[in-house]
Amino acid sequence: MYKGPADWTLIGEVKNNPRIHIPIFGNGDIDSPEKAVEYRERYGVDGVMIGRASIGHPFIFREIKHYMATGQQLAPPTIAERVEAARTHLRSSIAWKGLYEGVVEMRRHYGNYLKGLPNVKEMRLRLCTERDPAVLEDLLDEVIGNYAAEAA
Amino acid sequence: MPRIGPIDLGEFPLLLAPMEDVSDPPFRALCKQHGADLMFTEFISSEGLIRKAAKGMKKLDIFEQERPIGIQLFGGSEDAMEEAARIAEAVRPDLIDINYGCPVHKVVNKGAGACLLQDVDKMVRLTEKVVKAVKLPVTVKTRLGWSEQTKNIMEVAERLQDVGIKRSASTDARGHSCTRALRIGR
Ligand SMILES: Cc1cc2nc3c(=O)[nH]c(=O)nc-3n(C[C@H](O)[C@H](O)[C@H](O)COP(=O)(O)O)c2cc1C
Ligand SMILES: Cc1cc2nc3c(=O)[nH]c(=O)nc-3n(C[C@H](O)[C@H](O)[C@H](O)COP(=O)(O)O)c2cc1C
Repeated sequence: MYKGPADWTLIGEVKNNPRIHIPIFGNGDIDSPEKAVEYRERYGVDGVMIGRASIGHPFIFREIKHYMATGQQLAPPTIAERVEAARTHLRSSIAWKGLYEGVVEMRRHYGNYLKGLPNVKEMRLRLCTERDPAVLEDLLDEVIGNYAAEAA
Repeated sequence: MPRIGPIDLGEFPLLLAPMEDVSDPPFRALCKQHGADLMFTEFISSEGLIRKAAKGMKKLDIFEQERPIGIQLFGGSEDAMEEAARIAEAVRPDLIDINYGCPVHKVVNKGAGACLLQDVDKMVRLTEKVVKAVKLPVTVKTRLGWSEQTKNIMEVAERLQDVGIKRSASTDARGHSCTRALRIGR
């Protein structure tokens, strides 16, 4: 459904229409701080809306803000930060949805949080078949431990 | 500095897009923690909401620490949207957002979402009804047009502004997304 690039030109034209005084926010394909800044400058929108790039990577918001404020890239989140984000997500998922649904609905997210980690496939399988939240937390600790071992 | 009604959003706000099965409270909490300035619920069916269907009611769950937060509604019936907007207002979000962009089958089939881009008169009436039904600011999220050949966002933006919306988040109209939507109407 989303194979072609977003057409921002027309969004810019709407923003620059002298009749329009409501805020216009652009949306579509923003997946990096550079793009957010580039589109801001090029199309003059009042802000941007981010969808898919935030999935498994809620850090995108602070990354864009940092880049806008300093012109420098914020260091990417560490593995530990990414795993902690998954853990927070899991915990609040259980708190809000209940034990069963919280655990099950979290399964679609692990892959996004752990994307690009070495040997993540097996760990993802274990996370996605486990029902006990205590074991899930241990598995997340294991990811952090494995990575620390590998990085050492 | 962009404002929506009384909401001051800072210099260049970053909005979390409404995403079905994704932008629920657990995910929103993380996005907020990492700097999202304005967030939206997953879209909620107006028809479901007025029947008090559990799925829609659950999506009305919003939390103080999420503010500012918008509740997104979709539907093709003016009356259902009006009533749903009142139900949504009662849980005290900061704004109500109308979905005029969704191209998926089950939504377009009901005359909702992006389908309304084919009938701007109805889109304007529906928007005006919602604006009048609630005291909260009303925003819309739409796309450039129904199809590559019918990008009518300029007309849509002007006319919706005239009936009192506070923001328009224009999304893209890629040819094939529309092709897919058109195929649905077959
Ligand atoms: C899984 C998924 C669910 C979505 N659900 C909604 C929705 O409920 N309401 C809506 O207005 N848009 C929805 N969208 C569209 C997004 O809000 C956004 O417009 C689109 O993904 C383009 O932005 P992006 O390129 O930053 O992802 C959804 C998108 C995705 C990927
Ligand atoms: C429930 C739902 C609502 C959506 N609403 C919108 C929308 O309002 N605007 C939009 O541009 N895309 C919307 N989308 C489309 C998504 O952005 C995305 O293109 C789609 O989910 C991915 O398509 P695929 O399953 O063909 O990969 C929605 C998708 C879903 C599942």
